[in-house]
Amino acid sequence: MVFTSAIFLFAFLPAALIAFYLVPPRWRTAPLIVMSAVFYAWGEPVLVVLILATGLFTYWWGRRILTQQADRRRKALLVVGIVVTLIPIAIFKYLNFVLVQLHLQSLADQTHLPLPIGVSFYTFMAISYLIDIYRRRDIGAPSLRAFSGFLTMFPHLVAGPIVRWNHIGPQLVAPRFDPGLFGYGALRVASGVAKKVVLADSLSVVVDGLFVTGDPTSVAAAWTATALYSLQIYLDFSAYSDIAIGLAAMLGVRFHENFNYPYISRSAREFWQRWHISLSSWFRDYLYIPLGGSRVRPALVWRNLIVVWALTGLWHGAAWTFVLWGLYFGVVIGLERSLYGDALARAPRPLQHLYGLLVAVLGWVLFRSTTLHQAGSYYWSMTGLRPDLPRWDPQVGLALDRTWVIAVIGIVLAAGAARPFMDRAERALTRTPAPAPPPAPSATPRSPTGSPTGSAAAREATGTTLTLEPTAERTEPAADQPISTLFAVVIALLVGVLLVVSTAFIVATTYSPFIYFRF
Amino acid sequence: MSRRLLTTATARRAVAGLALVGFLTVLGAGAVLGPHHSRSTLDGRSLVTFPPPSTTTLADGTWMTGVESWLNDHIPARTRWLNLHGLLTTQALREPVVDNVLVDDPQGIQLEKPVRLRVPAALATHAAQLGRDVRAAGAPILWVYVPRKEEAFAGRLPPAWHNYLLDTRPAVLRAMAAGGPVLDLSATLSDPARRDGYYWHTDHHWTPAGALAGLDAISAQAKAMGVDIPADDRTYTTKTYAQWYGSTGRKVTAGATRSPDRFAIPQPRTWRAHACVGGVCDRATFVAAKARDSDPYANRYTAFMGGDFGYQRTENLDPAAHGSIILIKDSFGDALATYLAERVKTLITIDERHYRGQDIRKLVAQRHPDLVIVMHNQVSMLGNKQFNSLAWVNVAANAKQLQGAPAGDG
Repeated sequence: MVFTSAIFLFAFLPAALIAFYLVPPRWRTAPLIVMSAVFYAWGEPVLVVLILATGLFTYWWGRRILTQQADRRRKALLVVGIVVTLIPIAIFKYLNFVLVQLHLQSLADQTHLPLPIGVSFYTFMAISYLIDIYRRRDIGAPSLRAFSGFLTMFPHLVAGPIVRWNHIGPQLVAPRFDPGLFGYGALRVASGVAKKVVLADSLSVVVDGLFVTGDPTSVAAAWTATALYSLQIYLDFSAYSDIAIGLAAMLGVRFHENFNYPYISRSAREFWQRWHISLSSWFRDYLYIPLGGSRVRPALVWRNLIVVWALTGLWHGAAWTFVLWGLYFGVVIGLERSLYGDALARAPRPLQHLYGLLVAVLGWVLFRSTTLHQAGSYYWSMTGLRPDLPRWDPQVGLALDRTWVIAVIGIVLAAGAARPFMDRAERALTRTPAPAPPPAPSATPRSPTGSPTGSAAAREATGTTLTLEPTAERTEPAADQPISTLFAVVIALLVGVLLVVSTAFIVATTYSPFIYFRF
Repeated sequence: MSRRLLTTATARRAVAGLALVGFLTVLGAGAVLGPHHSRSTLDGRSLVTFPPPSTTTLADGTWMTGVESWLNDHIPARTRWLNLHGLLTTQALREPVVDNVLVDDPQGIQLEKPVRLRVPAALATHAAQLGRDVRAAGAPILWVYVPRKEEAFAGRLPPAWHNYLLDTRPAVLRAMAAGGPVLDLSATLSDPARRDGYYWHTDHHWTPAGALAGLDAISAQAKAMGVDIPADDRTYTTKTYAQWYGSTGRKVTAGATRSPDRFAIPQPRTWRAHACVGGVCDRATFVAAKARDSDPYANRYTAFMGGDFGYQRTENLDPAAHGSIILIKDSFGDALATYLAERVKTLITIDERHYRGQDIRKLVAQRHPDLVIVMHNQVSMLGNKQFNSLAWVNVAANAKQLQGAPAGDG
């Protein structure tokens, strides 16, 4: 089921919310599991077994690690647990790719398997659960119901964020109806849906048209396609995160933010502190730091960066373009650390922003291309050195004609223009501080409630430079700030308007008239 | 007092959430409980019915897909949502193109992005065969090429859209020429001074003015071939029916349409030709009831000859009319036939897409027409999937290009 489909919004979501709040708080994970299973099975009636089995195994294996005292035995159990947890993703996502690399094309053709929805996300959630128990940073879920509720809860199933038990689990013990959080969640859902269906999907039509030939028609077409795609993927992915965060809030659960205006970054490193934060922090905590992080000799830092970023790329998809995309960031971040980071920091701020934006945008060429050859063709075209390519062609004119308004709105949003309003709404509605992104675990002792505690100083001590710090400019919401009637009405009206506009676009996507058109 | 304040503060915080849940629930409940229409003129099809679940359909997911399709078709006020989408897309987002239809032409002409179609290698061979068969059966044959709107307004298409129709037109004309003399109406209908009146702005067909211009050209050509198609000297007055949205207008909806078309039809005091059913010739050739349809999205073009039929005979008993013609046509022929039937004694129209009758040679031998006219636009000719007994076009490859466009009224 897709968040922006009519069936989800007009049928599933109201039913799920009613079912959730009809039962007492401490039993609310039960309807959550049932509704999440329905949500998953709606699109994959058979593969729902896979996520349920992953949940069952992970919970059971976590108990085994927890009860085992001997360190070597615990480590062996962890390794086995991780390997078993990785089996579904290895088979469904990477087997075909491996077979093709081994020149076993005929076998690959026979083993073409469907990719289970969200397998990359829930596999990583399961692994972090096992590792946290192994590290004695967590005692795990108190029951299979609690763990299944965490792993399968529908808000994060389709496109993350990658949430962790020690953050979500305690919130799921007895989620209560919080009117303000419910209202804030509605605002995030409505804005996310609008961002996705009105802006991102409208852009995608034009972007797909520009990329369809696989070879740009002009220098300007190459740049336009890349720039518009950069905007599209941000609007699309961040919209999904907005919806997920909003849905969770409506269920009384707060997710960490997953995007923080990445295109205002001033370096590749900062970009990844702002883009898909839950993924970069996962790799930081469960791979980069265990490998030694950046507090090892330079050669090993490079090794760590290459390993982590190659796997980050591979996580996004089983193709060399994704691996190269990951490596591209690994190399750029490595160079920023070792070569020109200081010079960059001394450069004028506009230049830093331009650099940060350019690094991100150029990376999307690899990400969007289906083959390395296509990526190469785009890069070569963007240089303007291809003798066979005109500087401009009519495709660009039409593409800009069709998207300039959306692009302006998208750029304004990506620059954070809506942030003051959203922050104010969050403060006024929720009365609680926005959750900080996950801190580095190695410096984080387990709290009695399972919630992590940590500090920037502790992270500094581990040399965790890979991912985010709590952003300095994020304002702390004031406690118990009253909300005026006018502002409450403005928020409600905004939710209404966004929903009306989004509904028009959602209905339009289902409109496929037979209009006797071709003859 | 404090309790009331608390309640007020809580209500203020909850109102956005309640607005969202209320909005979504009303739409969902409206789909389930609201009135269910079985057919939509906007969609031009029957709406999806709720699928009964079974073990098989639940396991393979087709039930879920069916439920989604049902919900999509039955969202309350669906047409209004679609109109709003068109309005927002064109007015707020300033999109000049909606669903591959150009909607921002200054004169309001809606033009579709041309599709690349393949001209079958055997097209000329088949045309030649048809020409031989018709002549062998004792009738002359005239091929008539009708340009699509995108050909007539080629200069108004966005430069980024390659006009494949102009690429394939020469090959289609060459193929037609293999079957006999060809009348190409491109120049007539592309006349910049008149073309805005020759095509509907929101529909892909020609208007009665276009059809009459085509009929005059055909009559002149027929005369040159020794076949007299009598003129109709009566005074035609234009009757204007309610405004309507044609095929492209329905596709982009009213919200994205600059202005609907006026269904203005030149017509004589009385239509003297009648269509025959079961040997009784009493059916109107211009179906006024369809022209008067109150639904602006109704396909009003089907008022001409009642729409497409595989085989239709009209008889005109007026002494001024004489001669008989067989017209092999697509839907452009419907408007033409309505006026042609007023001039000739017998007119037989054949739409190959629906025709299931006898072989053309037998038909010609049996009816002894003065002239057989084969009139097509290239999209119907190359994209047709249902040539049977008149299988002179091999269009299997092109049918793939036109997926989702089943044969029907054209």
